[in-house]
Amino acid sequence: MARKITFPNMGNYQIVFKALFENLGFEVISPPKTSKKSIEKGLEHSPEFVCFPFKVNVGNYIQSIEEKGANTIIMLDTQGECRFRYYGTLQQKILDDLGYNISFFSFNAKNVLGHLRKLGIFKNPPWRLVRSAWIAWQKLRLVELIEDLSWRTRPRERESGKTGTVMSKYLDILDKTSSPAKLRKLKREISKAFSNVEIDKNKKPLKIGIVGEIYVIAESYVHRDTDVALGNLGAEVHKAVRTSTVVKHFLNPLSKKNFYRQAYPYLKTSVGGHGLDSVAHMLEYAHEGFDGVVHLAPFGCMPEVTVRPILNQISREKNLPLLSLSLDEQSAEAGIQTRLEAFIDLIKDKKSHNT
Amino acid sequence: MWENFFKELGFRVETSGQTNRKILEEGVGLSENEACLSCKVFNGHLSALVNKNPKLDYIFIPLYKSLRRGYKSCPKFFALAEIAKTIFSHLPPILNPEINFTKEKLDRTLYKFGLGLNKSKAKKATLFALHTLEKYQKDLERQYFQKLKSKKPKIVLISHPYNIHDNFINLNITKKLKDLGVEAITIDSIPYKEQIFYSGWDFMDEMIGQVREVADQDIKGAIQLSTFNCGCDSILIGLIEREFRKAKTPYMSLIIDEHTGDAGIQTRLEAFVDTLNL
Repeated sequence: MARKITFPNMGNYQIVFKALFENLGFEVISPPKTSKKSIEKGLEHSPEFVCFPFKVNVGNYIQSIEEKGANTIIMLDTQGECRFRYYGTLQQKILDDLGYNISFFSFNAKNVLGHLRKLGIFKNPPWRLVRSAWIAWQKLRLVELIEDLSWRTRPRERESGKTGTVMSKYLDILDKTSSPAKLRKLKREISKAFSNVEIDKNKKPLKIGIVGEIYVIAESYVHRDTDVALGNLGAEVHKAVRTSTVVKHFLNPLSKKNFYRQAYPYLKTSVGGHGLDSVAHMLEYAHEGFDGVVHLAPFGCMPEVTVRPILNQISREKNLPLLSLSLDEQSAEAGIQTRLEAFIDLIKDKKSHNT
Repeated sequence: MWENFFKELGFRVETSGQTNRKILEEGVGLSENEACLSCKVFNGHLSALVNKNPKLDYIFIPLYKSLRRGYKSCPKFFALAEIAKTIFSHLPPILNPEINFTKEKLDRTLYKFGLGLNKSKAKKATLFALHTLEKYQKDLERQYFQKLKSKKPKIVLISHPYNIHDNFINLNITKKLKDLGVEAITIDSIPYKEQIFYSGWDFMDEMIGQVREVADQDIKGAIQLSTFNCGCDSILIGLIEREFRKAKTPYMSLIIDEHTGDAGIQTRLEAFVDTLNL
């Protein structure tokens, strides 16, 4: 039976995973955009107290299997210290118990070659493997470029919603673009399109850094479009934890070590996940003169809950306002919007008192 | 073990005592809302210890990094001391040795730690500590084999050691089970053959090994006791309940938080034990 590959949704990075596997000759089933409906089945079949990303993943899988006939699931196991390392293991058992006849590949450093062989990746000649990885990497950088430009443009746009329109258009085009040459051309087009959005050049938006757990930061349904909301409130957003950073740290462990050293006065030990990253990034933001930090984490996230008191301490000592949001299936968009508005008001007040 | 270690080094040792309502409430008040109950209890104990003894020279908060070679402990253990410094404004100096069986064996860790505190007594203290630990583990094992011989229906109680041996937090579950006429075998007493099942957390493969070992014995049921927001258990429960499903042994999980009432647990235990006698 031909493989129909799917994977969990992860914000705009869908485009990257899809390109990677399509270029290796697989039929890819992109998971439908995460929604209240898609997570229902995830909530029903996941352990009650497991972290929210796990439940969202399971919802994505079930929807892809039932609605689009996916039969092969690709997942990652970074073998870290938090629960994430067991996602694949337990998710596979849940799907087995539900009676789905699927293959589940949870990739880690030890099994990567074996899994790739089983998937038939090595039927591709080496040049095709390299080309596929290269295209995926270029698409990843363009996804992040589009996001960066949207965060810079949105708080300054004269016509509300224009940034969003440009962003959707180019994410769609990016998804449909296949060759490295066309991708290079697309990069120029993207920069041009965003610079053509009419902006108020005199506006000086507040700079807000986002730290926290990588999945909720990427997946817009989970964080209820916090970055868009902040942009609409006139704030320029920067996201600390990006997939490209993870790849860079993976390829260069020394850069990772140096990065963590920044957290030293506040936290020396790793606490799993991106806990230590949150501390280090918040200190970076303090150093770079950001106006505030928003901390996004799933409810009960072990690493992020551990570091929350430290982030609060940094907030006090560096005089950097912090808003820590705990996200799960019950998070309401209105509630988050209210808190973000109050947060921005607080920062604006603080700024006007300081001048 | 630690108490004997420090006493042998010439220290006077003060402990925070058994968990009680005051310790729990104090810990809840000091900790993050979403922290696991066990971390809250830890902070409560730290608070009680510091309040009872204003003139401490040191507080001992070991960093349990790895209790089995190639594995890691729960990541909540790693930053306990550093987070304590954030929560408490004034703490005596913290002794924070890293216990890491992936890096080195316990005897080396104890000896090096002891040398830093009292050079002349370090070796003796290390040997005494190891002897205490070995005796404790042998005692547990002896209890296990004794309980296996019991004529009463046997249930295995699965939980982390700091829950199994905290009768306030576990709502006195071992006594409750005893009163219901059941022999409760605690998972930490079960000897097992070290194997790799899932790798990762040290307690994960240890418990799976213990569960598989005891499943071969005449066990009538399994109760897994967890505490609110234990991240590890949210995964562990999923794996352990499947082990018992495969062994066709009745299984129940209980989640305890700071509001859990005695009566509620009693009812669930009675109902569970009733189903076993059918």
